[in-house]
Amino acid sequence: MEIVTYPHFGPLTRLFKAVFQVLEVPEERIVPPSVPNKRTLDLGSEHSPEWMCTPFKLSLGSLIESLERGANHVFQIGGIGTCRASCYGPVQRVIIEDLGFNAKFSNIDYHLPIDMLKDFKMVSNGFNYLQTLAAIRKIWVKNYSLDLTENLINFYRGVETEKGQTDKVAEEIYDELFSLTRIRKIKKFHKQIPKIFKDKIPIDKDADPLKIGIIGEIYVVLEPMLHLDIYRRLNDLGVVCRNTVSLKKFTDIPAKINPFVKEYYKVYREKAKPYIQQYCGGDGQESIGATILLRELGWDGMVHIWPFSCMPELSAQTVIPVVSHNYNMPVLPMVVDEQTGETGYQTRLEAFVDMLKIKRENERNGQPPEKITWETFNYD
Amino acid sequence: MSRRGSSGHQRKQKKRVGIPRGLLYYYFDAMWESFFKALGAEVVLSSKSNKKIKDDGVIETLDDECYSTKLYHGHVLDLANERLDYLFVPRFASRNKQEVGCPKFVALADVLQHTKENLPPIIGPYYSTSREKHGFWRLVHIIFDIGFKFTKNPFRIIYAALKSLRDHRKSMKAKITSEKILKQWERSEIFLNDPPSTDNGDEILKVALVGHSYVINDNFASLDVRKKLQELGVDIITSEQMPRNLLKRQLLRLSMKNYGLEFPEPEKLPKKELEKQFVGKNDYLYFEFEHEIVGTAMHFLESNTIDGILMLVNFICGPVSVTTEYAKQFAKKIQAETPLAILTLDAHTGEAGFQTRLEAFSDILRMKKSTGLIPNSVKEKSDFILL
Repeated sequence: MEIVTYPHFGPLTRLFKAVFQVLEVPEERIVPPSVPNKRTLDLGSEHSPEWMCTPFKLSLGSLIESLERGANHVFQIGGIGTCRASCYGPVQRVIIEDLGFNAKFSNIDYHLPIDMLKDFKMVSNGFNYLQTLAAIRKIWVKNYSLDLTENLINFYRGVETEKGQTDKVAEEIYDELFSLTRIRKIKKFHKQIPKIFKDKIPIDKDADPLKIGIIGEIYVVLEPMLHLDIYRRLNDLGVVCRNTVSLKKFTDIPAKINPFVKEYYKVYREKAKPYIQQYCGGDGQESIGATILLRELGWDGMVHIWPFSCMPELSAQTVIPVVSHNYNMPVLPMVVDEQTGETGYQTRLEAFVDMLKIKRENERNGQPPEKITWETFNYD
Repeated sequence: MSRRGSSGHQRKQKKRVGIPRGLLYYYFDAMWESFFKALGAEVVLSSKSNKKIKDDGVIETLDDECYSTKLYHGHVLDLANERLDYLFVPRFASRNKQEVGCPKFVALADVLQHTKENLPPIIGPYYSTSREKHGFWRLVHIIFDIGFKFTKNPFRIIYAALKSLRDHRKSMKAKITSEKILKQWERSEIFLNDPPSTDNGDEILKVALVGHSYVINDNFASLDVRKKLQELGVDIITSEQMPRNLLKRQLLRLSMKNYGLEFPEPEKLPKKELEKQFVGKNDYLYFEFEHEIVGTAMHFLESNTIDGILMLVNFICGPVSVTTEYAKQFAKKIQAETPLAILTLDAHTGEAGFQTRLEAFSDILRMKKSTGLIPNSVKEKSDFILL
């Protein structure tokens, strides 16, 4: 019997869980990855090449933990990429074979949607292609709501008057979202999400929070174990923040097909053209583009996080000081790896926020601040 | 008096193109130089890597940049003092459908442009077969685009392009050996590089020197490893000299079940048989410049015809981290008897320490050659991978 597993990857974990639910894969045939902890990272680092990027180590650790629990069919990234990300599947296969597990690998190349479809059809409960497609459609529809909810959380948690209220509401919304199965209902619910937050969470009307964007490598920006919960840390410092990368990049198939819709990352890439002309892998160009875009929208600063030895982000980080200087936009560079210490991380964030506050005071010159609401904060 | 007048030339001054001596230069040197020369330009190379270039590069770049990129920045700074019309830093992504270079090569021109002052205009053609599906016409476009910067005569541009391709092929042919010659070398009938010294009266060792061209050919970056090995009485073959069809075969076996150990010549299998042997879809090592590294290592680990493999890698080189893992796992899998040493180089590697490690490696190889095995006490303490 094939028992499916996949690495832990921030919100994608929830999505994958939803997919298998929709594909009617019986519960005993899925081993969802456990929430990564110190052991996961240690396990991954122990068996990975020394200089491999940290997401590889985390996902390897996560896979090994799942394989220990009896899984034997792994979904991982593969194919031909630009940076090392597409090597994850092949290299992890070799390592896992050496560790003595007998696992089959389905490497997903997100450039090839038809191959992806075939893979999902294979694991499904006797579905045909059309049924599989209909099932997968729920991924991207749910992903819209997931993205929206996450952005809402990162906003409301920064301005809420009653600590912990946002998390409670978010849990309710996640539960509701994953209990829905019909697409029409999901879409209907999607429209209500901002209203639910607005009604249920009392916010500080006079709050004058800083607005900070998080740029960087997608795995690190989305995986709480790697970014050490940077959103919560920033929110606790009285800052509203949002991430500038999203899984939409891979899952938003309607936007990929539709020639009239511009995907979010293409907007960023266009902005980045004067600095890095061509796609250099990963999210290098997006990091630069987002910095420029958010400055134009009047945001206060950026935090750039990337895993140690990430190649595209390094190219971006070499150019970002120039961008930062030209646009007068402060960017805090943060390298994370398996040994990043929490205290130093927190101190740097606090110092950055303090400096931004001083900068804002100077720029305002005594003018009253604009009132911030979700509508003015959201720029999608 | 102007600078131009002082040189006394009456004819039009040649345009000067600067090429930094680093990274891709070591793969395409013949092609680039002959192309610009045939266009009527003067090619200015940066001086060979030295301490000043290293120090400049280290200061200019981020800490976790790879050593070769650091050196490259130093080379560009070295060229900045010259009076140049153009600087040639191509945005090279890939030249085959299922292969890519290093992502850093694509962004390098932009990074240089924005971080260095007083740089001449950069010629940075973008070419990517895997991602943008560039092909022949894109190449023609690039050639004319560059050519018209130097001459108005289209026939001269075509001549330059053809000449540069011919020179590239010629230099590749001179570098790469055939399988027949490789067999001869394995039987110790010929030398492929400078013959090793036999002053000590020791037996000559045969070692494969594996690494990127820009590491093993840069005498400063590799701490003169070729000369050091020569003095230690070691005869070497480098990974760039290996026959290409052999490397291709090894690469094919990398994505086969059980490394295709049952199939010595997988490319001769019928296509359907071959497809059955693959581990699965989307399972490739797509980094182009790693193919020769992993292919060479796999070949010698398996054939067991030489005494040892010495892998030279640059600190924090991304693609190499994948390659070394493949080589290690393959050695483990087949219980290889040929020792494999992986030595890391970076800006702070000391010459004496490096020399000691090379000597230790050659001593271990000699011990193995005379007694047939390596004592366990050495195995446990050694940094090298000895099975």
